[in-house]
Amino acid sequence: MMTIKQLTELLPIEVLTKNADLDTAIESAYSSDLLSQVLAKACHRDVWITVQTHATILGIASIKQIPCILFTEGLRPCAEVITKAEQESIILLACQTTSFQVGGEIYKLLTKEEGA
Amino acid sequence: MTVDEIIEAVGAEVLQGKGRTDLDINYAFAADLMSDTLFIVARDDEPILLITGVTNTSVVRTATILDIPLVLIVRGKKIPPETIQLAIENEIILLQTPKIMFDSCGLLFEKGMKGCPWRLK
Amino acid sequence: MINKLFFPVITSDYPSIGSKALEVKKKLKDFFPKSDYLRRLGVCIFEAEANLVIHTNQGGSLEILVFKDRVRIIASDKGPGIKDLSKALTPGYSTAPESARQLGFGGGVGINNIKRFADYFFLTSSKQGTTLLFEVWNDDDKATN
Repeated sequence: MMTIKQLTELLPIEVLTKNADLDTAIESAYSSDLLSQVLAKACHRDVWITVQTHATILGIASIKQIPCILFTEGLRPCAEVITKAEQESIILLACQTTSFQVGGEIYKLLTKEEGA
Repeated sequence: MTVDEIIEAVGAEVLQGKGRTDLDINYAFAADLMSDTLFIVARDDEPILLITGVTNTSVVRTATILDIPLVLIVRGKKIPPETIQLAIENEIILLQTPKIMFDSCGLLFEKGMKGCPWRLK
Repeated sequence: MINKLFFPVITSDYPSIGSKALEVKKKLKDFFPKSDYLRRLGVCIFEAEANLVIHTNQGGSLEILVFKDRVRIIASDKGPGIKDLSKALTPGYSTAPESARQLGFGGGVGINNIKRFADYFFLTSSKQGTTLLFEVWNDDDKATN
């Protein structure tokens, strides 16, 4: 387990949403660009790693109580989506690297935390 | 990593083994959206591993168009026979693991697999 | 012109997406031996093909014209047309139905990818249909990394 704050400090990840509660804890991540897959399998302690940036992702994050979405490959949603996420207290993050790379790095950090 | 090392790292099953079995793969790319794989067009002839949860024939076609020799399908879904058949015809080695994408990426990353570094201008 | 290929594309025929692109790539292996050129070309045709399957009422066609130093692709259909052309060229913007997204399509970068990879790009659209014409040149100076 780690906080989103720790994640953004240890990895080159940018926070997009203002007034985000970065002390929110995450236990794992779910990496998928298929929305129904996320609906079926993601958990409320996951960072959702994706390249999908349209507004529909917020609805899914809300339903599943996913606290945080991480956009990869330098992609980021438009201002309207970021504003809506702030209103719904969903934290949006972004990084330049690929889903594989950042997924691997997060996995490594979480496994290290577990073993510590 | 060799194909066998990849299989062992993620507990994969070989759905189709005809292809470039002697590969040493250093880079992987994970995507469910086929368009997202396109930036790896720019990589000379470096072989890469494509990791995806999509099971339809377009995955094999994307891999063939991009000269990707090895595809790992995650999340343990049933793969349609047409996908396996197309992989045989195009000699794309097809592996499957029940693990989710995040765990599969993590396990391979820990064994030294790197993310694709290429960028398009 | 060395060769001309023509493919009808059927609307909503998701299992076929990429089949024409792959066929063209295989057919042109001897004309254009450089693998990165064929990849760029394959990617553009793949995207054009996907758009015809996902976004048309009645399907459309792909006409492939092979020249000594380039390939010209004309993707055309009879509707319903692109509502907002500037949005369509915005990465991430997609009007693909959910069924398309579940199969790994609809990422919202199709036309943009073609524009990015092609050396010549022309797009016109109305309710009566859309015509996309692009060329991928076999140019040794084209830097991609």
